[in-house]
Amino acid sequence: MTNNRNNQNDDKKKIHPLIEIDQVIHAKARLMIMTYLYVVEGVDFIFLMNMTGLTWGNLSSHLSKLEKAGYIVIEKGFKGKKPYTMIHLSKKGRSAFKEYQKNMKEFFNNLPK
Amino acid sequence: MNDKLGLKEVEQRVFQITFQDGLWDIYLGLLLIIFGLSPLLEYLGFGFSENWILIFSAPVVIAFWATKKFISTPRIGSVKFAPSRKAKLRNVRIIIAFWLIVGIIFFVLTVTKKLSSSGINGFNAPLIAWVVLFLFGFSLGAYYLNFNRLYLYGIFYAIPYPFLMQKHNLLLRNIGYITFFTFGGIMVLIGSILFIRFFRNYSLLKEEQILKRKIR
Repeated sequence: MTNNRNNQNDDKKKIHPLIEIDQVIHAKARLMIMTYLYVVEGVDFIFLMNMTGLTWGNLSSHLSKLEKAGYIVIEKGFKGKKPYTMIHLSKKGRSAFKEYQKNMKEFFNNLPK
Repeated sequence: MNDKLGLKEVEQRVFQITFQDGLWDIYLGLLLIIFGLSPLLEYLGFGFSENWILIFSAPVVIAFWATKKFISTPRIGSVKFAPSRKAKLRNVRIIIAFWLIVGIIFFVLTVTKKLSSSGINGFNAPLIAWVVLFLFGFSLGAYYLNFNRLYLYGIFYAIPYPFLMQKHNLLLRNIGYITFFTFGGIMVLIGSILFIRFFRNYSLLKEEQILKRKIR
């Protein structure tokens, strides 16, 4: 039974290589967030809003999804009396992004010319 | 290869946002104007130019720091750069430190008249040092910071001083003052345009306001 399932999965991958693409990262907004977070050590909420051009609600919901997947770490704190939110990639997130990059590259490289 | 280039460009874009407010342009432009104004005041008999440089520079430095802290940063937000970028910033600090030390040495040697006699066709050592330091210093800064306008500003800084050194030629001296003010003015103008654009594009959005929106 398990062998059958594995074979089915292998077949699916052969037929549809995109099945290996991480859907959490693949959404346009989340890909933008992950890319910005990948190239820096950490950013605050306002910086990320400016860079991505997303609204507060939109950015917040995408960050929640990434946090739920364990890809990012959100730290909330106070600088004096002012609240701030610092966001950075977790180790899992960093390796997931590398994997995503590799898979996408492979997918496009394997397309017939 | 393309992927790597893409990520590199994203990192550069993140870093370059630091210079989008035009404050560095205004600051460097005002300093250049001060470098021209101070010897002019000395020439007109209003005391030593070194004193004027200090008097004028202090408020400019304070205004730059305050604008960056209270106007620019709250609008852009803050970012912690990756170790590779931090290493580049460290290189820039080393260049600035080296530039300052060499500058101070030349300043002391000039004041103590130990360098005034050394020269080639009227172009003496402080002048050569000024031109070389600004061209190299600004170029290295531009390279490490990906701040391309610094290449141009290095030339702006290097050109006027050789004219000002022609103490016995009033025409060349006046050209020196004019170039100091013109180039400084151009830098301030570029910075002001960038600052206005930045001010329009980035509205103040405090986290307290964001939290209030969330509660509603």
